[in-house]
Amino acid sequence: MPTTAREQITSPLDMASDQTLADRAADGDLRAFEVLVRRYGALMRVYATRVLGSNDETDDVVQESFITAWQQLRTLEDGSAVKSWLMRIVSRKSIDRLRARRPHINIDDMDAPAPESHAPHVLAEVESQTEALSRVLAALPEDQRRCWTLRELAEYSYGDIAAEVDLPVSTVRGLLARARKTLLREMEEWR
Amino acid sequence: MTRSEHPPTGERFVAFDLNDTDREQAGLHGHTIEELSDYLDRGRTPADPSIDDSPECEIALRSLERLRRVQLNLLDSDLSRESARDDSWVSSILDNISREAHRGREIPLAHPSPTARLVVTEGAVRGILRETGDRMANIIVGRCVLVGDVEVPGMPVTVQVDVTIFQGENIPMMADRLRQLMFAALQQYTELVVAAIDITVRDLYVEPDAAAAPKGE
Amino acid sequence: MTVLTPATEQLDELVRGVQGVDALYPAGSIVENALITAAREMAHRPPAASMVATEQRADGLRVTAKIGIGAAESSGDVCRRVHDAIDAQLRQSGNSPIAQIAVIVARIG
Repeated sequence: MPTTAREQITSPLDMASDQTLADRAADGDLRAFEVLVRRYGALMRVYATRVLGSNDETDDVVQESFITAWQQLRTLEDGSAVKSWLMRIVSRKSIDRLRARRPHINIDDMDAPAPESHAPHVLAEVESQTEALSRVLAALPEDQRRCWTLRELAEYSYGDIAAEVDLPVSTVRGLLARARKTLLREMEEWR
Repeated sequence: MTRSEHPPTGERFVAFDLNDTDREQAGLHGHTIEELSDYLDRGRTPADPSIDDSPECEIALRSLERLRRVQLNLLDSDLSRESARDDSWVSSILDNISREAHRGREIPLAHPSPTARLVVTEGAVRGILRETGDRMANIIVGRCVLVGDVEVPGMPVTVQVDVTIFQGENIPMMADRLRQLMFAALQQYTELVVAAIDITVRDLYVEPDAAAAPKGE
Repeated sequence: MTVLTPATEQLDELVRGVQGVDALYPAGSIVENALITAAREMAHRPPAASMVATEQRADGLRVTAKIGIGAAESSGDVCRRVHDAIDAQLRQSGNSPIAQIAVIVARIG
């Protein structure tokens, strides 16, 4: 069977609200689920890539997230909240990946492939600000990056982040503050 | 904006020690980056003069705002890159999920033989009820629930359906038509005793005008 | 466990041939299907197991067929046709007593 793109038919479902799509998908409607996958898959991929620090495992994490979502959609009481529910699933899966990785490589101790973070100013001038931010983010310690991503991409509250990463709120605030200060300081170099 | 009375343009943000809160506060008029960040999150309300009137804080706030803008740009460019990807990842997700999770209850169909067990799954019935709605124009069917003991032949069952109807349609007429079609479908595909089909119009769909329409692929 | 009887493989063919049957799905238990799916994913090939499940129990043979039907059909009519076809086949091939013939419509249209 060819694995080329599925034909994308514009159907009224593309216009349906999150609530309608989530309700239908919970009832077992694969087409409604597909619209949700298309609607939020890209954001989930961006998110997972940022949390993981690379896109090597993004496909796996996002796929697992959607499979979990499909199985558990019936437990979602308010279908209109499906976006944040999906983001929660993908962040949990991403964090699980990070935890699973840890026994093999301790990212915080790894100092090898981060020469870019000490890149000369010349480089900073030629790369765009977004590229620079991307680079600095990737070089952040894992716990800071995770908190930053939950806060800035998934728009979690401090309390929700704390629950998600299993740390006290005060620690989360501290990690976020550090991440921001690092980003601000690095950003000063981009002018 | 009164804040611009202290134009800090060109001044560099204080590059403080990450671990030294005292220096941080000294450089930010007694505040911290965390406080300033929260202040921005609150939309700078209620106004705090000790922040607003401090040029140092103003510089830091501008830096934070700039960081936020760059973050948004980064998210935008990430998103457009991901959206431009080929579709294979969508297919691979859909190929890997199972319909089994949604089969629901088993609705019996009659047969004279005592060894026969003929059923149609609730999932299949919900599916065809949605299909029925999807074949009508200007209506989108949402959740379909079969209320009652569908597993016992002869027990009256109520069907609850949520719909979105496009603005401008005659709602009672649309609902009647849908009810008739769904009733016919239930007759054709099940042997349920249908007491009622309750249709709830959850939403009116307002056609977005061309300018506000979502970007085409 | 699925016990293969001489008639089993012909049952897939038989059910597929019944008027109104659009699709035939694996009818084992959910757990069994999950195992088949997992095995298939690992091996990247279709399962050798037949779609129609048969199980020999103390009280006789139990057969389960899971089907999809066309939208123009009536579930009851197609189900009864499938049942009757399986029933006739089993009787004809002289199988042990029939404890149950289950036909499940899992998809319409």
